[in-house]
Amino acid sequence: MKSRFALLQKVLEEAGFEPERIHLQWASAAEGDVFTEGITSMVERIKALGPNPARKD
Amino acid sequence: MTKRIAMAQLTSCWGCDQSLLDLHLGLLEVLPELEIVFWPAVVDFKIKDLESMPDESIHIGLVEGSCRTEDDVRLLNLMRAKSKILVAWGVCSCYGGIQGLANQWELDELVDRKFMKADTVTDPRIPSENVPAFVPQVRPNVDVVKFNILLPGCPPTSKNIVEALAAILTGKPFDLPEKSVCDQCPKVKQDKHITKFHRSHEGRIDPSKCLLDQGYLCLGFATIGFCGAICPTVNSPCKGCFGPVLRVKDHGAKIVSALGAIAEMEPEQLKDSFPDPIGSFYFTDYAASYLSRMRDKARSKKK
Repeated sequence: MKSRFALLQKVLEEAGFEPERIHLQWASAAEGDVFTEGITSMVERIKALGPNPARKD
Repeated sequence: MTKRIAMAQLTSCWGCDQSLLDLHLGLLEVLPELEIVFWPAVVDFKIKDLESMPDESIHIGLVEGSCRTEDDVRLLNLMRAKSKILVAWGVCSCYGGIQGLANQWELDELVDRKFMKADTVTDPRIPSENVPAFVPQVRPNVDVVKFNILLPGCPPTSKNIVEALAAILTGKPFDLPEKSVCDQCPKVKQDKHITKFHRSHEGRIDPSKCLLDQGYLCLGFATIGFCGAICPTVNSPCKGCFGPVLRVKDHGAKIVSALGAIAEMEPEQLKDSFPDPIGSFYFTDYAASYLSRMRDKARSKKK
């Protein structure tokens, strides 16, 4: 899964999208805190990136 | 009764015409059934000849290439209006073709690179007279007009073309195979333990074994089995030029997914194995990919 993710990030980058826009997270049913932390960090990251411009000119 | 046939070329290499002509004497079996009413690749037809024909007066219209210029878009719409059965002839027409890879860049970047900065340019200028304007991106023709038959391939083999024509002439349905190139490939497949990917000129290929098992990026598993596995049969890895297997919507996504699962490599090492992932995984169908369509949408929004 990590390998797929690495390749996908690279393809995204080549296509003109910030690879940070995608997020991979493992969290078991017992790890609610890990899950929320993951989501929160992703939301913060995406907010900082702003709306998807496909590519900045 | 002979059927009226037209063959139109948009932006492309015209290799599909070559493939048709490769039928050689085999052409003689088909030609008596056909009346060629438009084929600028071979005879000096003009666009006004096509325009003067009544709508739906052509029985079979073959459209090769994709739309890179506004003239291409006009010709494509004209072919749709004049043809009863419209065939997307070749992978460019079905999925955008190699020129779809240009969708990774903006039009001004492409024009600048090609006409101003290319190494061979001695008199840099952007042509503006007697040339059609470019369109901002290559869209698959199927997004522009409705097609009756898809005939992928780069080019479709002579056999593919004659089979499609024979089906149309006899009124039989023409369906693409569900198979992949692997299904047609004679090489022996084993469990995959890929620890390194090689370029096709590196190492020594064992001709009896699956090329992917040996660490060559052979894309037969994700590519429609329509060519007869001609490349892997002669030890040349499949580049995926016929486009995806029918049930696969996004060729490159399928390839990324599969490589991630079968490569026994560190993620970073796998990533570094493919310096040009879009060129490698979407050789002839990037214009039809999710990523290219998203970028297209963003481009249209900006305007």
